[in-house]
Amino acid sequence: MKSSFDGDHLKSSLKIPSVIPESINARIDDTLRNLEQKKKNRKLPKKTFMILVACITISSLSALAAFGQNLPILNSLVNFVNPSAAKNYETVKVAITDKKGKTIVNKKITDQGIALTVNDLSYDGATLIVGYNLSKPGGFGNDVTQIDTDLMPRFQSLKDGTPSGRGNQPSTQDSYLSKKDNGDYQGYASINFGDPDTKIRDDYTLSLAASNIGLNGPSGFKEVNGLWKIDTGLTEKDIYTAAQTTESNVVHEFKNGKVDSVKVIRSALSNIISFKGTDNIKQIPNLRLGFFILDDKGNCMNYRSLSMSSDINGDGGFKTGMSLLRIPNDTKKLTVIPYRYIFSKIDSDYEKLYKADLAKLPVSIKIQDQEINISAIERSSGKLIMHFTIIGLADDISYTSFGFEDKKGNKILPNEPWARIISPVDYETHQGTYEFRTDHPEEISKVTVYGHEYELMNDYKFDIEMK
Amino acid sequence: MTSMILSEQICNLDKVDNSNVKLAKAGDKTAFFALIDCHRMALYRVAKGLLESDLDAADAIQETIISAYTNIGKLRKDEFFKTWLIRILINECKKILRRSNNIVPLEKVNEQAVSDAYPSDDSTTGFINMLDLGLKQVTILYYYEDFSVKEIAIILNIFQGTVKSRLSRARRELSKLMGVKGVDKNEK
Repeated sequence: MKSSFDGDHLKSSLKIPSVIPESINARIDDTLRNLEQKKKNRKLPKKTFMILVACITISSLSALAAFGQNLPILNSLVNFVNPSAAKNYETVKVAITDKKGKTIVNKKITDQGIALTVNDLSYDGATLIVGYNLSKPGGFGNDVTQIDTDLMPRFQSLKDGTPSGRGNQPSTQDSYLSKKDNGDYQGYASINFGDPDTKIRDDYTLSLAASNIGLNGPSGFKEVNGLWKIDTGLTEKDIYTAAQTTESNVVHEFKNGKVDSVKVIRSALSNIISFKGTDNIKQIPNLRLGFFILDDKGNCMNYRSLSMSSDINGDGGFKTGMSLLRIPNDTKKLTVIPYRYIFSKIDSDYEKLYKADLAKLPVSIKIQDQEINISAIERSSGKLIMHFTIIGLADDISYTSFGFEDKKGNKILPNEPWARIISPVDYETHQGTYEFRTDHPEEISKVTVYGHEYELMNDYKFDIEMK
Repeated sequence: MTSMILSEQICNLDKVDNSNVKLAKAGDKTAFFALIDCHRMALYRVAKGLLESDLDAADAIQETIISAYTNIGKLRKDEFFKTWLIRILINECKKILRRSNNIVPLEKVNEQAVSDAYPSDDSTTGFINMLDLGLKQVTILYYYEDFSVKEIAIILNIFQGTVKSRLSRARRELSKLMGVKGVDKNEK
């Protein structure tokens, strides 16, 4: 196959780089050396382009304060502060404080002079909550105001130590650590595996490991590298408390495909829905399939995609995991509406750029059945903060990325690479804020956002009865 | 950090042994470092080819490494690590191109471009930079990194037939561009 395209002459005339410039090598080395820190710093950006420095800035926690004085506050500068997750977590914390569903561990490991203690675990098959604390003799010092670490769970075989595939692939992770009076940091890690389709095993035990601890304070960020690994000796089954699961294997057909099974997981830790099925037009790569989930009052419940997998070489099978808004207790059923859209920001016009003039507020941007309402903007030196809500059919309301233009339609450029700071849309109110740092906030006249229109398969919608 | 020479050797071994991928997926940082070391040159060639600027290439590579480290647990088939990594890189390059408003729309290598934007040197590489993004991608992946048509189709999420037609068109465009400039008459 390749020979038919060999263009030896062409290839010989190409100046293919054979040496990596020192500057590139240096950047790669630096990235690898500071991987954990950069990974954390990137969490926000990745989801939407953004950044994070903010979180910290988070104008300070005013938004967080609204969630209550007792928030296990939070997060470090280097960790993505997710107020909505935090809010949800408050409920989680309350729910598991009565010790139902909580397994006591109390194991400790010390490295680099820092002790990691895992206090307790809660697990519903989809979400793992780890209660832990970090301590250091004499404390971490006044120079440290926030601490963070990446606790990675690993389920490994009792027989030969091999890891279970699923247990090592968390989809999302949020952590909440707060300083105690004695100088220790105590809190929780909430780890979601996205795919709730798992068998609860009694032959795999859980270990938790961290390879670095980030210390943040007025003098900057420092990372302590080491190895903190705790074998809990507990199997999945030991720590598992069943969530309320609604599972159906009724086949629901939609245009050129079908859903073979639906699973809804509800617990103090999770509100997740997942589908397995087959998409018969997989051969059109940019044609994407999605599902809107509505409660029985017609509210769209899609909050955040946790996972999506499809076998590009196989039979078109797909599997999705979605985090939903909290499902009200009186909800009798969920309605699922499949839809398709073309996804391609670069190579086609199918994803459109929508604009709104910011001269008169409030203003809204309507993208088919979704509406973004911009209620207020704040301009100050070097930045603009925009307040908005999202309502209607949106497949992932947690993050949205915006651009800005001047009156003539010229793009307003950010003044630094990490100039966009997004607070995720609130879990309950759908309110979000978007901070954009630029040298010319006063010139911002329009807001832009990319969106895709979709084909809603109303004729193929189906209901899921809640038990 | 692993030296470049050593990493090249490890890289060769890894063509038949995906153990580093398995280890990296299990959270082994050293294994992940070794994997990145293996593919440094590929990362640079592709990023440089698409973005031209070393500064932009460095940004794209950095983001790619972080994204790969964050998401390697989601890689389903170990043997596809390189194609997966390059796919991430191309997405990062696209983001940078988009941010800099530097994208030449598909199908738009036209006479205007030919007359207005000649490379200052006579190398074919300079002309590749004049191709639209779709053609440039397949050309760089195919000629710079020796990816097969099938692999490129996977990386770019397009049909193999589309890869072939884009390669063919890229060669025609390059031939035309170089012919006008009088660089490579044979390619005509």
